[in-house]
Amino acid sequence: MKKLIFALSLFVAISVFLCSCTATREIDEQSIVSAIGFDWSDRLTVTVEVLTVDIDRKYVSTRTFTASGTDIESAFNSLNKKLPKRLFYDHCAAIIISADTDEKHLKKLLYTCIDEPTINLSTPVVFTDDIALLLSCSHESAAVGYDIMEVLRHNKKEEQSRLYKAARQTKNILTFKNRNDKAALK
Amino acid sequence: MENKNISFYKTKNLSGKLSADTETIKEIFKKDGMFRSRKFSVGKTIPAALFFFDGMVDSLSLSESIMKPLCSALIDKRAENENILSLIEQNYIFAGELKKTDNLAEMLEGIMYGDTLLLINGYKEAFVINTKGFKIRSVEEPPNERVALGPREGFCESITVNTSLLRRKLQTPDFCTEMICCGRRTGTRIALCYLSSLADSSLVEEVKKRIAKIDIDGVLDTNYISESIRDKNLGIFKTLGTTERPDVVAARLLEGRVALLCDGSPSAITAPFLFSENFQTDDDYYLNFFVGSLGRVLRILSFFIACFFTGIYVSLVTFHAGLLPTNSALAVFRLRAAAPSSTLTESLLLIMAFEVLKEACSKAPHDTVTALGIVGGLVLGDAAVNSDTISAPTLIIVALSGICSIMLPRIRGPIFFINLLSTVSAGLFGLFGVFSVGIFVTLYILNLTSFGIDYTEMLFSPSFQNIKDVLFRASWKNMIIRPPFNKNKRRQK
Repeated sequence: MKKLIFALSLFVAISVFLCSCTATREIDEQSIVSAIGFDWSDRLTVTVEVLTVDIDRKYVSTRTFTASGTDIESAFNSLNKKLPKRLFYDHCAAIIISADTDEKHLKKLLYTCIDEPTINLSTPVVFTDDIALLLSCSHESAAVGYDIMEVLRHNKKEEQSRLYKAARQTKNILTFKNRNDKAALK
Repeated sequence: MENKNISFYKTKNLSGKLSADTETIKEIFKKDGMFRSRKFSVGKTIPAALFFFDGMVDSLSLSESIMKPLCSALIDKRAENENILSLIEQNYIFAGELKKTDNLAEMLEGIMYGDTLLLINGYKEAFVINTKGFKIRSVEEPPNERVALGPREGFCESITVNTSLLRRKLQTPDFCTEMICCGRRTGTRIALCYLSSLADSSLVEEVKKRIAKIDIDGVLDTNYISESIRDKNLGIFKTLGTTERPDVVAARLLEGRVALLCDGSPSAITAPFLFSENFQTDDDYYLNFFVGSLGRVLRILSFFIACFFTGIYVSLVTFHAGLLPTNSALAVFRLRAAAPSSTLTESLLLIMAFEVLKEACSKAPHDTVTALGIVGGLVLGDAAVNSDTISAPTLIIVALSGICSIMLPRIRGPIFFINLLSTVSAGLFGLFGVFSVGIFVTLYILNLTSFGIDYTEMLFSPSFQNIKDVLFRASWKNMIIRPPFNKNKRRQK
């Protein structure tokens, strides 16, 4: 009996350890990121559009949070301090990068994105002139991150909308085939 | 003589003196207020006595078939000893069935089973006369096995009526009914039924051997036997079939199985029993085979939903939210925003609440079940969601699993345990936990046997003839082969 209890305890302990069940993350305990923007001129400015639920739980709306730092790590540390919940990138619909980011910083950013396991590889990378303009269009759209690709691909929105105007500034769209697709970065 | 069961009297005989023997029998039943004895004289000259239990015998039959002819019989003491008993047996007892015995245990068994014991002065032998007249429930449709079309009769609590229902369906000399007594203190009669040309003789012998090993005080239902003779005593899956319908038993006997009927129980056991039978219903065979097959596919699907759907939901929301489609993730995110407890806690609470509701509905008086369902399901469910106690997605998922489990009444117990286990594992280990439980359950089912036959026999067979009544129900024209565990495999040309 003692052997059985020992074996069962060992099984549970190993299972817990292997599948890191201590790191349980309920969906509602995280901030779902719909879009993330990087603007690296002098300092790196990270802007995230996260989904929030209104008090009646009838609608999902968005809020944007911005933080800056000298490098990627410090920018994200600063951003995380501003947010009450942990960021959840699995449903991120667009990575928006400032078009005037220099090549060295751009590579760093793209390598970070491609190496981050929680970011979906099918998430397109959009280059634009004005990230602030783009992500400030949330009052026109449920979530800019989810709508921008629709606008770019199908041109569905009215031409007068700010989102359309902001999207028109898009220079290029990049997608990765897999996590080793370093060629796309060149 | 108190605290002695029937086996104590197996070696005892009567003395042949009526007064002494009467005292012996009265002494045995002295504490039973319903025991009756009646002294009289056969042909006004030979003292005799009748013993029976009030309420167990048919009083009309007692007076018309025994008392009347014996009292008016033309027999006197001068007749030869042997002749008197033979004369009475052949000419003066009008009952359909009687047994002459000198064994006290057989006499007592007869009295306790509604027969009347006739003692005649000067003889150690006595007559046990069939005068059974106790009330039994009429043949009705079993409430748990209703069908849209097909026979509406079900077993009742009398073994004689139940065997007659089978005999009426199987009018062949092939049909065998062997009576076995079981239970130290109840002496319950068990009928072992089979078709001798189809049932494997080794299976019949094995059933008899296992029944002979049963050594318990009483057998009050077939489940007492079922739990005692099954292959694995502690398993959660039933490896013996149970039904209250004679047509189902007849159909299984025609496949070469054996059936056990227990006196006092309206359900029959059939063996061997396969896993695929959990998904079969009587309607499958009484409706068009397309409709029957559709129902069966739905039940198989329901099994997986009932066992693993809650677990998969918990693991997706708790560990793998990235695997949810974005729209679904957003819906869950929105609806769970105000939930006070974790998805695992919510799910476990709802599973338990659903089981309590099911149990309450099954035990509640028939006319309150609808009200209970409305209050328990609609009012409480709606109030729980509106007050943010429970999130709507969890309620929907658990309710769907619960409804699916109702579709499979034979394995409702195992489904509850698997669902509970997979949900807890999902909350602790994510999808890894759910798949681990799935693999464990699959291995467990694969290891089960029913009287030596694999529980999953025919399930993974590539042959159409083997799966024709497993994953779907083929038309009768295509049901050519019987299951592989009987002597005569070919059902039709």
